[in-house]
Amino acid sequence: MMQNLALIILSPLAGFLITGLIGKRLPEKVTGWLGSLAVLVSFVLSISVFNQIAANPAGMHQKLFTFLSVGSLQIDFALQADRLTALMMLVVTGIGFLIHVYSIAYMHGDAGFYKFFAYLNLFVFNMLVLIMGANFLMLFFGWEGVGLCSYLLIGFWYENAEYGKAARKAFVMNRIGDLGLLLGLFLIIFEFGSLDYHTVFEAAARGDHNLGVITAICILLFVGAMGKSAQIPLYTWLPDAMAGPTPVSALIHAATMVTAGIYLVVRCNTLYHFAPVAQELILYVGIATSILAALIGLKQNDIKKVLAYSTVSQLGLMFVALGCGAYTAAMFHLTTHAFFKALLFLGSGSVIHGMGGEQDIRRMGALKASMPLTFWTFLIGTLAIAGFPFMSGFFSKDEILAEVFVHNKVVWALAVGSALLTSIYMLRLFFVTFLGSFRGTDEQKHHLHESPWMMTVPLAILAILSIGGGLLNLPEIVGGGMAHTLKHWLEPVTGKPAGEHAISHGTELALMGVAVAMLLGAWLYTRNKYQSKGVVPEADEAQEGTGRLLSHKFYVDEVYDAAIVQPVNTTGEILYEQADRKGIDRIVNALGNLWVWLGGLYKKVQNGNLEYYLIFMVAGLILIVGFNLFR
Amino acid sequence: MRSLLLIFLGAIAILFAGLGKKEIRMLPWAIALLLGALVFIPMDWIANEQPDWVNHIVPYFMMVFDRSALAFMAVIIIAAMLVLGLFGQREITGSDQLGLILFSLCGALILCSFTHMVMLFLGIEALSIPLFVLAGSRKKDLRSNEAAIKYFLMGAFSTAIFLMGCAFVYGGTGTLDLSVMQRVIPGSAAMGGMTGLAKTGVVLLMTGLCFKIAAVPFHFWSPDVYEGSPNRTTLFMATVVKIASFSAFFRLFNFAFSSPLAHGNWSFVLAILAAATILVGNIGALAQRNLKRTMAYSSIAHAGYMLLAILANPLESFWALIVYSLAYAGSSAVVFYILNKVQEKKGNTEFESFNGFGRANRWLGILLILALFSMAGIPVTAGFAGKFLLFSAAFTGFKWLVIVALLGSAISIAYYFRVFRHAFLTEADGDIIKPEWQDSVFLAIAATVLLLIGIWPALITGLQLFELH
Amino acid sequence: MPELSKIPWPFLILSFISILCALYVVTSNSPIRSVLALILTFFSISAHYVMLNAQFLAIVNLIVYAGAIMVLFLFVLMLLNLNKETEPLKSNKWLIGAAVSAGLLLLVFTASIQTSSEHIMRHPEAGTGLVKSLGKVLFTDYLVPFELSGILFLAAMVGAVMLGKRDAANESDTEITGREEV
Repeated sequence: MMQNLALIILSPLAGFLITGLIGKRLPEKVTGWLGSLAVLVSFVLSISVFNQIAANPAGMHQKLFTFLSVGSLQIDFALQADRLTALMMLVVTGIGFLIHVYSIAYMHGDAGFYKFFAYLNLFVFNMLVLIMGANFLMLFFGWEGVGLCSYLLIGFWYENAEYGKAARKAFVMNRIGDLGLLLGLFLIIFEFGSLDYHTVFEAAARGDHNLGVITAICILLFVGAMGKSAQIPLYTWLPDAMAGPTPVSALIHAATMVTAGIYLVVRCNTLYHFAPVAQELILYVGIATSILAALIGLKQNDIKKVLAYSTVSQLGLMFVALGCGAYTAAMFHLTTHAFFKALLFLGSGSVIHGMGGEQDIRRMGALKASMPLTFWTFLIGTLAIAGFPFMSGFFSKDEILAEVFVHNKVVWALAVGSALLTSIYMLRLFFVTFLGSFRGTDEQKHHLHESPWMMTVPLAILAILSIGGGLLNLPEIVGGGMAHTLKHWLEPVTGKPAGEHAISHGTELALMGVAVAMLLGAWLYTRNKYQSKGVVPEADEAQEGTGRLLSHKFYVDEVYDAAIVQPVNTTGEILYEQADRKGIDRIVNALGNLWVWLGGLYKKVQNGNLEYYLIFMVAGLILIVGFNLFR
Repeated sequence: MRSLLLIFLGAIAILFAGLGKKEIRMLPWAIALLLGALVFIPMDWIANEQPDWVNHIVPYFMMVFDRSALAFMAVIIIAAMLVLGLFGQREITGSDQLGLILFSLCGALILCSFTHMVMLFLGIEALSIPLFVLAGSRKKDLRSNEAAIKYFLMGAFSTAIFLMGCAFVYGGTGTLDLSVMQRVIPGSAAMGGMTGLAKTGVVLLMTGLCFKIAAVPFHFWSPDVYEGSPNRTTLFMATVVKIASFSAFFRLFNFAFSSPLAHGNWSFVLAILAAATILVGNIGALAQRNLKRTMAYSSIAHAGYMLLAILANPLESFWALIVYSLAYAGSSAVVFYILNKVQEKKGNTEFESFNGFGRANRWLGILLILALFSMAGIPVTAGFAGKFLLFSAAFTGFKWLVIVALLGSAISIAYYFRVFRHAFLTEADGDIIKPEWQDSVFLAIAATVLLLIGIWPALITGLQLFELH
Repeated sequence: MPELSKIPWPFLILSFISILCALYVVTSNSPIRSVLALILTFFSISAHYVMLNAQFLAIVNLIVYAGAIMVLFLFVLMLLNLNKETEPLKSNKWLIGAAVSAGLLLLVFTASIQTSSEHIMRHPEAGTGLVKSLGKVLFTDYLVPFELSGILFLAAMVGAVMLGKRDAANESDTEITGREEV
């Protein structure tokens, strides 16, 4: 059975080669199903591995060959599967398979159909390498590989210049992150003399290493995670990445790749244990990202952009959990988030498909009638992410909030605020898109249809998972004997972190109550505003203020609006304009342009004139000799 | 030794064979010659198993063919084979050109194996003099003439500096023999450290070699010369000459000047040069609109990375340098081949000429991606393995330099990406290029090198270097 | 640094002449005069060699540089008919730059010799520079480099011929560039 591990990664690789090389000559259906089959095989094998791991907490390890050996440093091409990996494997291959099937219908008729599946398969392969690698170098291989695929898929429709730009931005930002990651790896080699997880963590656990170096390693690794998991300041690529086909957004930019940063931190929890400073940093970056992205999400009108900012916000929340040392909570939310965010993205894909490519929610509305299945599944996804009681998001978010509550009350308050904002913008999105009146063109209305079964079946399955995903890790008050399944499952990896204090059932119930109350409030508010009153979000440029809203009945409503909603909305607006587009985005662009500018400057020196060159050379020579002599 | 002799005699034979009136296709013979020379290397490698082999050098040969020399020789011969194989079919016609290339190659092989400064100097000259001519071998092209003159003048200048360095080192240490030098320099610690003469001499030698590898601030010749020379010569300069110069660099600085006293003296200056080289190479490349010139700058940047190997602990960095050189040679050969073909069709090497290239030529497109990835150091290509080995070897001693190098390689992605964008992400229809079967063979060799070493660098790094010193 | 009075006077005179001539080489506007001054410089340097007991080097320097190369220079100059008008005038900027960098270079080199004057070998073996001992060394210890310089000259010769020949090889060149094809 040991061969399974290699087979799991080889199957998508074979799929990539087949679809990439001969896919052009095969009929669409065959290519699509071949690609899906490759992932399905991995999924089935993953289940079998999962079962073995269940019996054997130590996990399994398979060395394929020695990658390189220099001096004392030896790095193997090795795979491993432990409890953490097994969970990720199921998420990646399971959701991956569903999205493959979905794509067969979604990408139907696209000129690059075979290429799309080749890239998707390659992505799954790289993602599996990332999570199954038994050392940091393998992780880095996968890390670079998924980045590459992400880039290829964002720029998939490269005819559009905007899309190409988005792809490039994703690439540049990820490079910044990768720089941190690579430096972290070199520091690990320097400190531990190895890149093997087992060796490094065992050595670190002994606790006799330089804490300063370990902190530096942790921060550098986190910089890598920032890039991949879209945290401040390296997050603006993710909303732009929505230029890619929607299944890509679902698979890569919601469910799997962007969670690689979370995985990395959880994987290195032994190191982070010794680096409280780095943990604090993660906590603050996480909460800041979560709030910022949620605020910006309030004012987006592109259905996919809303979901993108929501993803950034949720990832921030996961990092908050990591910052508290609550690894289980983070992994739990990662898993449930993968379910409902994939569902939401696929649902939005179904909407876009039905609307003939329209992405602006202001031109949608009343889609309930014509797309019932999409409507219901989208509703489930929305409720799950908003934290409707007993759905998956409810439990996972609640667990994070509970952990943060113990850790830091201020951050907890902010996290609750972020959760509230999440409910609001998701419900707003839902109401505006599916209810109210239809605001599209007649042609669109005529064209409107429910998606084919290959798209709706994955939706249905994901919807079921979104409802039931909470079963993975029920809190004690609900689950009783079945509680904390995931926590016990992950214990061989995360150990029993000191940070996880138990809180009393009473407090927990109270916290849940707060969450439910908030959701209720958000529901009432958005329903009132967007469904009953049929308010259509303003176009970005027509943003004025209270004038239009004042013509409505409830005075309370207006006060509420003016006192809370408007400031919040405006903050979102300003943040989007100032912080996102003008601030962080510009800084990153300027960073890129700086080098180009320097290049132009240098061109003046290299002017083709021999005398210049000789004088520069002699000047350099004098400097070097002089410096060396008189040093 | 046998490889060197074979190539030398072969070169003379080829020159004579060209005397006749009838055109004889010399290229297959030249490649066979190189293959023969390459076959000798594993044989010598095995013969070097005996520990006392190193001590049995014939003294007046002033060369030693130890394993470190053989490894470099193999890389250089492979690089030369790629040049001849990919460009020889139609372009290197006369036996005189071929002879010159082979003579130059002899110089390169001497640079791998010298034990005496005289040999080093002769090797450098044997390497460069044919190149001055080859750079100007497109006689009617003004840019080619310009390249030849520039290369010649600045080359003469650097030779003067180098010779002065030899004189200074002789004055400071009283010897020109590398092994004696290695013994003498640590001894000077008792007398208050190295003399000023020796210090300056070492730096002057460094300068001379830095000129050959095009390190800042002695790199000014390279963009102009690379751009003006015929593509085959540029490739030869970028790969064979650069790798040979690095092997000389490695031998001189990690053998003769390897004692802590000497190392402490030159390493800091060289580290600054390396950092400057990496930054100037990468930043300069960003501003270019022409692929050939971009490659010139990128080759400056590559020299900067490779300097890390000179600075690091030689036992760790030797294989890193070998892997990096192989990766560099392979990827450069592929890029220059494609560049040459596009130039034939379009008449220039502006980026716009590459529009739609990747979509018109599937296999060449894939190959181009592979080569670019390798140059940029993206896994799983040989370039990544090389960079990873280099950087991790240098990290212990020069953390700041590794950070600069990482930054540089991050910048480099931008301009490699630009090639990629033009070749793949533009609507235009590129020209369809059909490589001849001989070309395909050598392209396949290059691709195999890039991929195989990328996936399995242990293939090379696992080899036992019996004794470096 | 030894005192001035201890320096032998022929050395001082020769050095004076060679520096003066060298300066004239670079400052003169007429190429012919430059070359002639250069020949003088070589002569005085050869005299230095003789003083160092390196007769062979002195003779070779005269034959090769002053004799062959300089005569070649003169021929070329006359054939090209270079005169004042065609000589591109360099601006003062260049002169200053060159002078400053040369001066600094001199300074640095002098400094490096100064700091190590104690260690320099003062008394080399007698007769090192004589033809007899040189020949012996060249054909025993330095045999391989000696032969190797043969390759070097062969390569240089082949190269010169290749550049000089008005050849058929150019036809292949037009294929390469593709520029002339159009």
